[in-house]
Amino acid sequence: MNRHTDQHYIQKTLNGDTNAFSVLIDRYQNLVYTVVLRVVKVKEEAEEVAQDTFLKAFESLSGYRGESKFSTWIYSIAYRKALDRVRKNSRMKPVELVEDITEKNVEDIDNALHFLELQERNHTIRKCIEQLPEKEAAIITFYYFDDLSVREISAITELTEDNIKVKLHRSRKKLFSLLKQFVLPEISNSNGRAI
Amino acid sequence: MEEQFKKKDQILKKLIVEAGSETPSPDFKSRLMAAVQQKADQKVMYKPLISIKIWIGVAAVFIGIVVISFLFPSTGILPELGVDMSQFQPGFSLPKPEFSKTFVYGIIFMSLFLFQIPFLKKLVETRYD
Repeated sequence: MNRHTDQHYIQKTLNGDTNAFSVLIDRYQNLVYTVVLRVVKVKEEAEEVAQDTFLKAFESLSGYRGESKFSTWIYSIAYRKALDRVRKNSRMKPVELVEDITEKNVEDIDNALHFLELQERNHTIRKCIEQLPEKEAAIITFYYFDDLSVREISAITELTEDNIKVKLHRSRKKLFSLLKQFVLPEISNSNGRAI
Repeated sequence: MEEQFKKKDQILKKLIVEAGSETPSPDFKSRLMAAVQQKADQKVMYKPLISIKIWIGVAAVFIGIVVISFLFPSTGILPELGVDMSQFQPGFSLPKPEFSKTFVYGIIFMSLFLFQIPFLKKLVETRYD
């Protein structure tokens, strides 16, 4: 297990040891790829964008001053590159599905998910995150998966902290509505259906 | 309300962590490292045509001229050093250039415009690179 800090490998890379950069790739490739995939939604494109992200990081490494964590710095590159790709493709898929979720719903969803096989459950959750709008999918990944604070997310996305909080609130609501549709279809479909 | 919020938060955290991260294709790293190596080979160290030492010399000469012209506005420093200036006097009088205010303003605005180009270039490069 490699216990050196990121800064150690950054310095080695800057001194001309290109292989030192591979340690940083090992450390961050999955996280960068996850965030990018959740924004661009297509695996092949996500790999391209993730590769561009690391290449950009390599080229600009001398500009990294260590004021923020290396992860925050590389995430901000990944986030910007992914949004650029989405803009280029104009593949915006806004999800305007915001239902009110009651306390009972939350418990039902939790219980229903509990009985799904782990693999199926994970697949369902990934599918639901995939349906979130690009920025919200990234923010929810940063917040819940990478445990980043609202302040760190704000630094990555260049959005205000209040804006992040609003987006998190909306994403939670949307994600629960999506989960509800996936795991409790019988409840969702029967509700409000005209006879 | 607060409780429901907390519950949602906990459930989402659990589900998203459990869903785990996505993994790129197995050859992602090798392809990336090949591209990195290519970039490293291409990297040519930027060397300015005029070195910093020469720039410092040029600046020193320029500042010296300005200081001398302020200290010895009419005669210059050579008569002070005992050099006979009469032998260097040209046999004709040079015309004194006169600039209109509009011309001076034009030059000032043009220099301001040229002055901001490197900053704008840098800004564009960092944003779109």
